[in-house]
Amino acid sequence: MSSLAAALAARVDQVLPDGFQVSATGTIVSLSTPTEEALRDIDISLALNHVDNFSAAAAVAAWRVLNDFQDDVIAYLWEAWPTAEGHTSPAEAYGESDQGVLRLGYRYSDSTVIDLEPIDLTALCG
Amino acid sequence: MKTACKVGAVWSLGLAAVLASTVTAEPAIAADARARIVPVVTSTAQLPSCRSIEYPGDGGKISVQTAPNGTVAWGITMYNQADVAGRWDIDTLVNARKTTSSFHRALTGPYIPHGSVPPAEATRGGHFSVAGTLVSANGKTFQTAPNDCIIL
Repeated sequence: MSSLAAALAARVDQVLPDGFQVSATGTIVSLSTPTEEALRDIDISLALNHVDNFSAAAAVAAWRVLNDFQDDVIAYLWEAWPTAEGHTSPAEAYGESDQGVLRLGYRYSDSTVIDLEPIDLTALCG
Repeated sequence: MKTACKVGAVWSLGLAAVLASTVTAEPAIAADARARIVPVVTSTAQLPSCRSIEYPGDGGKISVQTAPNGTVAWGITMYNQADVAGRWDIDTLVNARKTTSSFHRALTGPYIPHGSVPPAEATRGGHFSVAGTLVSANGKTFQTAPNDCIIL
């Protein structure tokens, strides 16, 4: 799970608004802002408490990180994020694993807003 | 800050009788159920549904709702916004095991700590609860009261 945490942190860090930073320490993924060092810590290993295989747990972990960090960004900026033209509400986080690949990002029902680089779960397990 | 947490200064975020519950080991159930089920609750049938429920307490209330897709959303609303600032350490549990939804941070202004638990973690028939403490900047310590509900 620590490798997954690092992979998630690296990807999410690239797409958050300026000033927000994401890092990983062990299985903890952390969000920080310019004014608050640690806005939120997420222990993604807790996903294994309720999901019995790594692939499904990885999907839960990805969704958790994207969803909760999005929540914090919105609360911090006081505006919807991320959005797309024609939409007033923020896109929804998604994390889906299929055949060893974790796909993640933010999307509306009809379009994807942020599509992060997929994570090869088989490589992490190996 | 923990050393300043005296029993008399502990307030409940959930049930009004949290302190009494702690002392007398009363059942961990919703307020409406407490009136008719005494003294011990262990079966699923005796717990309320997580569909839409509030647990009002002395200092605030815990709200739990379940969306049609099975996601369980939770939030804690303090009655007095002056109590919100402080250190929050809140976890959510399904069948007494932590989920990935938590709230561990310091707040400096108005906010409603909240989160959601996806169906992968919030399995149907499971017991969901919100547990933790708030050490408010104004010196009060709040503690969640028992608030188990059944995920439907």
